[in-house]
Amino acid sequence: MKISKTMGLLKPYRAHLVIGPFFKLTEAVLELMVPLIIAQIIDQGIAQGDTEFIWRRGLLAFGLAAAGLISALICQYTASLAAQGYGTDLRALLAERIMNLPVESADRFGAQSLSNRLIVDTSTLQQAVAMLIRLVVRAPFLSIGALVMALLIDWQLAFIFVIIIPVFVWILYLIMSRSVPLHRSTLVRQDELSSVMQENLEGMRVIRAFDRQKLRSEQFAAANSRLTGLVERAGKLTAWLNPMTLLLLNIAILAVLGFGGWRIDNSRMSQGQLVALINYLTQILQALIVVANLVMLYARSWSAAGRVEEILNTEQTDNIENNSDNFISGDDSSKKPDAGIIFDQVDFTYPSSSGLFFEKLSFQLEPGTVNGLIGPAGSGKSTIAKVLLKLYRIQQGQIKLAGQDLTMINNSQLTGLVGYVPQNPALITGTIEENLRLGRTAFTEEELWHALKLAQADEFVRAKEEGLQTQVSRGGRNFSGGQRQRLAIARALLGAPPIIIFDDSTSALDYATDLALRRAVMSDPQLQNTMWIIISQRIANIREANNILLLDDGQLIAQGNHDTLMTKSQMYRDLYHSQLDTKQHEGGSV
Amino acid sequence: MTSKKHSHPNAPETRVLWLLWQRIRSFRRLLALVIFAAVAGNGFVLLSPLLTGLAIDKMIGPGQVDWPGLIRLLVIFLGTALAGSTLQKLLFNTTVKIAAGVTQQLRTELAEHVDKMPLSEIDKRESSNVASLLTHDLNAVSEGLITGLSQAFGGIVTLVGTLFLMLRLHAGVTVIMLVLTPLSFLISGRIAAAARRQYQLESAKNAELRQVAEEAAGQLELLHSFDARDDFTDKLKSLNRELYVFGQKAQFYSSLSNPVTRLINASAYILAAVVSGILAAGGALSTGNVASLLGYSMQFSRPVNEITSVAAQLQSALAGAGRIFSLLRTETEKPDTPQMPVMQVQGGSFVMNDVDFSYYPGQNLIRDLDLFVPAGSQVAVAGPTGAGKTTLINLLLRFYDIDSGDIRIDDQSIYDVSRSSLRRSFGMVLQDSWLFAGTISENIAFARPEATVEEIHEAARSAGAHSFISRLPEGYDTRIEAESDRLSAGQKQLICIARTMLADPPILILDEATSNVDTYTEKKIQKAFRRLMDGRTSFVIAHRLSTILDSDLILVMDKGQIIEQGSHDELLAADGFYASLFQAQYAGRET
Repeated sequence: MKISKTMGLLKPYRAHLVIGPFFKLTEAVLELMVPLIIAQIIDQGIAQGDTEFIWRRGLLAFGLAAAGLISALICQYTASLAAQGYGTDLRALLAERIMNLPVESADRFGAQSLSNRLIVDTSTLQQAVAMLIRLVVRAPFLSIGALVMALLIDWQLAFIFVIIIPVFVWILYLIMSRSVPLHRSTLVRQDELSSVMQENLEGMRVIRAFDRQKLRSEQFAAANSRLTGLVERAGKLTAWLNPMTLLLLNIAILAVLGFGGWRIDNSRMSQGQLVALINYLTQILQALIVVANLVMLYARSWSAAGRVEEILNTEQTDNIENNSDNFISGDDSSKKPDAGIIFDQVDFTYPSSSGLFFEKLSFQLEPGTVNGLIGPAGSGKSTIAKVLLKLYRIQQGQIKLAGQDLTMINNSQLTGLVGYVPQNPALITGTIEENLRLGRTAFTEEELWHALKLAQADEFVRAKEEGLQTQVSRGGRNFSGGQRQRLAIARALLGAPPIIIFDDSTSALDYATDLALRRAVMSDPQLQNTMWIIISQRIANIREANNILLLDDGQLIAQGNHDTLMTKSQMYRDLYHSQLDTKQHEGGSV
Repeated sequence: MTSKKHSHPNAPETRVLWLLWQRIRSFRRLLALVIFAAVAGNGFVLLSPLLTGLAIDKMIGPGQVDWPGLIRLLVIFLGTALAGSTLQKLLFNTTVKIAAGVTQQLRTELAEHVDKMPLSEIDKRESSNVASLLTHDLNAVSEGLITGLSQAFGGIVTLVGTLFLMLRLHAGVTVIMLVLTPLSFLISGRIAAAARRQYQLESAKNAELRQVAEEAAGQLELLHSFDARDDFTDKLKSLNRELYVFGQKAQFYSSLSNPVTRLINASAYILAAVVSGILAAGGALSTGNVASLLGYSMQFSRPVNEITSVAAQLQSALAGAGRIFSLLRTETEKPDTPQMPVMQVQGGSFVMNDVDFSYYPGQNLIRDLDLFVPAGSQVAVAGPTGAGKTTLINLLLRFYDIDSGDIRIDDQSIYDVSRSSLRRSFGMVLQDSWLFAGTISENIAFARPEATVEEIHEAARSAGAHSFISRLPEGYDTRIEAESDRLSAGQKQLICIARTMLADPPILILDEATSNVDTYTEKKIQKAFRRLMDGRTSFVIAHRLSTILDSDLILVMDKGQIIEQGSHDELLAADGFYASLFQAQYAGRET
């Protein structure tokens, strides 16, 4: 796994990465001196009854410790600057990349995963950088340094250390390598359980209507006890860490005492040195525990870096910044370009599937006409809209919009040309005004109200105390389905773009409102030359269109107005009769 | 009918502790074991510096080593080390067991409580918030319990024991150590408080950033089609810059505590060395005593240093437990009692008498509603968006209780029979297709898990779902995941319809059931529904007037009220609201 882009962002912090560890090292060196001084206090001060020596050594030790603190503080400050700075840089880059992901890639990752990468993974990496500066040098240095010091005091006795350290490392490895996957599956089970709960809450009406609470609680209870079992196993495994560490330390002390007695007996060593050795032993084992935790942190960071890198390596949407000046900007609504649409031999495949969805799809829509797209679910009606909006890229062929190759039109021009009302009327957190504008600052408040009026939304917006400034909560939950749909329509009508796409956009509206909307839109002077693309499954909705495209399974079956299709296409006739059949009580007046 | 109590989100801490204790109490034996292991285990651990000191005193110098004494001490040392570690392991195991047991119990309580909560309470809450009680808050409780039980007892024993042993070695040195303790406590407390403040600011900013990020990532298609991505990128970036300020401070402050405590500990250690050294030089202490005192000075500082982090952990455990208990305190639906009669649906006639209902006090949504639906009729509920059609479902199935009046089915009040038998009498297909994570056949068999494969397939066939299910690579065993888009909205709805087909309930409620299904399938479904509705009372809620023209009775709703009722012809003749709605549709066809 390559994580070069993630690592590359560390470059501006090279100086921090040197200064921080340097001062941390200084602290560690000073810290290592303390046991030696204590040994001197015991061997010289106590043995010779020299109180003044003891005082002086004590002051020296304190001075070293204080100097150590200052070094450490410099390091911690440097680390906080570098780590937070790195995290901020990484998040900024990632945010930009995520926002410019092609829709198909964003779908593949999923919104939850993308925001986790932006928030959780970057903060793991930020933590890793902080630890890199603060601990990665300190902990191994302390363990090695303490070992060297011990060897200097009495290399034969310190040989015990050489045996005990690998044993310790092995035990740490055993415990951690087993507990890490256990903890991971615990988290998975936990998420499972909370999604069962979420599911229960969301489906409570259905569950209660079927009186199946018991079944769902049994499923929950089973998942619950599976989780509890896992938690216990993981907990008990981790519970080995402390007692084993302690036992090993005690055994090492025991050995040092035993052999120490023998060394002292043979006048190879002093009591003070023995105390110092025990001190170093404690330091080593403590430092090794830190090392083990670091290993775990870096294992986590490694996969976090991988996930971040994955986004950084995903291709971005290509947006053309500068294109031909002769292209009439969509923002300028006073002079509409002759916005016709041509699909020429278009091949398209959804990223997740293998076969061609559109194969050499060709058709032409004239400017200022009303066009209907009809066909069963999954026939490709919405896909045409999405390809036209450059949400997905076609593989072969050409799409022309207002005489221009679609690939030559940049996103802001496209937005000015095409107003789109998606199937699910999405709203974002913010005010109604922000939802209508969506970043398009040029419109006046009057224009906003006009669009709302056309969309039959002005009444309920006006009824709100705060009018256009009314807060929309996440996903527009504080508005009914019909209100959301009308706001989405107003958003698309804003600025009267030359092409407007309604993707099954009036499904939540009652007939009276639907009719009022149609009438308002059709009689609006600014929308006279607009091309309409109306996507529907119902012939009734598109019957009056100048041009109807009948689609099935990604293929254009027939094209023409209602009467033409009725004579020309068997499928259209079937569709017509099937819809007529259910409405026979209207006396065939569909 | 039910009084609407106000829930207190922030239960006072003592109450939370008391409630928590009630769950821990059932583990009394384990708790006794924890106390025993903590006291005995830490006691043994405490002996090791003393034994080390004594051992050092057995080896005064060359030729002056008391070998028999030393060996005896070392044997004792080994024994205490083994006993100490064993008891520690026992301590941790037991605390883990208690924590796991308590959290399992809380999870069960939460799930059971949610099952009994009235929908008025559920509708108020964001489902993801309730779900996070199970992860985030319960984790905090579990960690708090483990730390609390193992560290709290262990820490107290260590503190008291060290103090006792040090006092026995030398009172003067002990007093000096005791002076340093509050200092250490004070300084590390200050640092922790400063860090916590910054962390709170940071995590608030982080939550804001997360919310914007989630929304932006979720609405990428929309932002893309309106070219509004740059605005969101800028928004994210500016939040990120604000985050830097708090984050950097939070990091620095929190990273202060380790070096500062190291200095304080080192000072205590050095001070102990100097003071006991001087005493030893005067002959008041042995070298071994000095070593023991040094050992204890290190042990003594450990629980003191950890107090702040333990306290923070306990704090967040209490906060989590508080949130859990405040949900558990919300009112529940009154449970069915075994004496309650079972709803017996014969024909399924409905009577509503003087029904008043409102979602919140003072709203007055439905007033004095009277309604009679003859057995076996097909009732259409019509009206503009937001007219209160789903309210009707809420009332009929007792998801919400009416304020006054009565609703009777086949002359039994729905308030006199058990809820479960009432609800079992209904079959619903709602506007939002709810399926759970599981296979397609599990979902279809939801109401009747004992159904045979043939029955499941038959239900799917009559719902018009069999052919597309069979075409899926894994057929009926295809797993449905919560967020997955393997199935279209229409397909999901077909599965819901199959589920209702299989349940075969005496009364049907169909809400917008066919709005997401393509017209070929819709035709099939309508045929199947007509079969299903034959002889059953059914309520059809739909936007399209055409789909409800078959009905025996049409209820026209507007602004929460049923404003007109009657057959199609009667309503047209009355020339009221329905007539104008119908004209609107009719006219819409002509333009």
